Amino acid sequence: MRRGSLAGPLLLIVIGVVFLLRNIRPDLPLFELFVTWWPALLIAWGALRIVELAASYVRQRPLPRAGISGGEWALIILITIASMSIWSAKRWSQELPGKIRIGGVEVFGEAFDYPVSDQTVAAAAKGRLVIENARGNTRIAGVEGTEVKVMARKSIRALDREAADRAAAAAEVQVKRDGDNVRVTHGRDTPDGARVSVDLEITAPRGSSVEFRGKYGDLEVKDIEGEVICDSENAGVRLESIGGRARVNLRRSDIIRALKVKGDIEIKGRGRDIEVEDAAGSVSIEGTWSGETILRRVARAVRFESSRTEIRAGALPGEMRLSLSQLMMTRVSGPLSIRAETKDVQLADVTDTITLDVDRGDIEIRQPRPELGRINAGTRSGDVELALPPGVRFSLTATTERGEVTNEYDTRLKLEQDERKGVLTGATGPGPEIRLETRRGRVLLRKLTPAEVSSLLGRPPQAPPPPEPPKAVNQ
Amino acid sequence: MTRTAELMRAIRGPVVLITLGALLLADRFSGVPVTKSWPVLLIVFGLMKLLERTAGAPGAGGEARYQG
Repeated sequence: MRRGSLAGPLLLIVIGVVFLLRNIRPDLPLFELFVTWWPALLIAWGALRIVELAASYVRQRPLPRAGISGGEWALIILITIASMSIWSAKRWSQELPGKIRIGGVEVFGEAFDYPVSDQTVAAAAKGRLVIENARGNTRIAGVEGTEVKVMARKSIRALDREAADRAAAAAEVQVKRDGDNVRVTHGRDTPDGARVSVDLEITAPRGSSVEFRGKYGDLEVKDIEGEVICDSENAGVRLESIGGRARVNLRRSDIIRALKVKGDIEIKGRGRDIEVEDAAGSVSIEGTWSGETILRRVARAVRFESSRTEIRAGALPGEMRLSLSQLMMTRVSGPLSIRAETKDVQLADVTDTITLDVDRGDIEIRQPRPELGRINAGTRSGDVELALPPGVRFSLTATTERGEVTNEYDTRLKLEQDERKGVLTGATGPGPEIRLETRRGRVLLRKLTPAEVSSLLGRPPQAPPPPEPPKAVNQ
Repeated sequence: MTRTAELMRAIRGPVVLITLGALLLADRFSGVPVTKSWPVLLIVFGLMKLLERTAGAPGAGGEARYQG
């Protein structure tokens, strides 16, 4: 009878020891070690079998037909697949900020909640509130009064109650007044692997300014007359009824919303969606945004800059919707300039000059008003359509290198069309210059129907909320 | 089948296993992904077959065979 290999029992012993050590000394990174070094186990297994087989060979014992049996191969494949998936999950999670550590407190830990007693300090009416919250959500509301009140809830994820207690003691929520400033801070993550997160609910005098620094967690600010500065690794941000300017700087974000901000808005970073409504100042957005950017009723200049798109507009009484593949703008005042790589662009009711340059994408411009600004619109590949109400005076050059030009507007314009190329030139009277150009695609000049004109102008353009007189002292 | 050939056949599995482990470690530490280096397994397998042949033609019969 053939004796079984040593590999099976040894494997059992190794697994047993690993799990036992885990239970006795949870702080040893055994799981991490195993996840990193498991291929070495395969090598050890193979080496062990070779030694065994060599021993049998030297001692003239019968050799098995296969060094590793079918059952063992099945086990090896199972281990390999399991470990590879843990590996890739780990690698994937490491690329995310706020990563999930496999085998860390996130998986094996328990959550412990600690009550924190409310703290109140007297504050200056127009002071500055400085908040540092590395992990956890923060809500700030401006109220009448002269006090900063901080309510907190501490939640700690740790392997046992003792570690959680230690972490809770280290992460004391502190509220301190320092001249005109009020600082709200708490200790950082403790080194033995507990994870502290603190949810803060703060009320402050309405005239305050807010400065927030965080790593992971959402921020909500409401009814604050001063400025708001937010700097975070990963946060959703919601600002509402802010009197001063708002500066938001994020490395990652799922949504930023800013409603009724009176000062200038500046957003920088990376993230998904942005929504700005009723801004009385300018709006400037820079960075990489993968979702949809929606702006409505911006009283002053709009600037959007990413690696693929650049938009500048004098003001935006209407709406702008920008996604990765599409840009729609309605009711724009002031000069508008757009530069984009791949995007379909639809513009309606722009009351000043338009400069538009797209690499790939269709362009559609509908201007319902008879007074017109200069238009210079070009795409390398895509159709161009311009629709105007009847009787507008302008001079036009519309060309396509490869495609068809259609004139449904005015017979005075001169059309030269051969098999490939089409050019439409001429003037309907003294007026602004219009240049439409595509390398490959159709060009269409047409009349807006009365129905279209009234639907574009029908809802009288909503005036932006009148900017309130500047406050005398506001930081 | 000679005894050396039998040994070669028997250690084929362990050798492939060691190679697999080495490739996975290389994937981890030197950045050569397994998706690129897997043909090494075929080469090793082929080499082992070749060694088995040179050690003694299989199927000569006579000797008892043991199931592994």
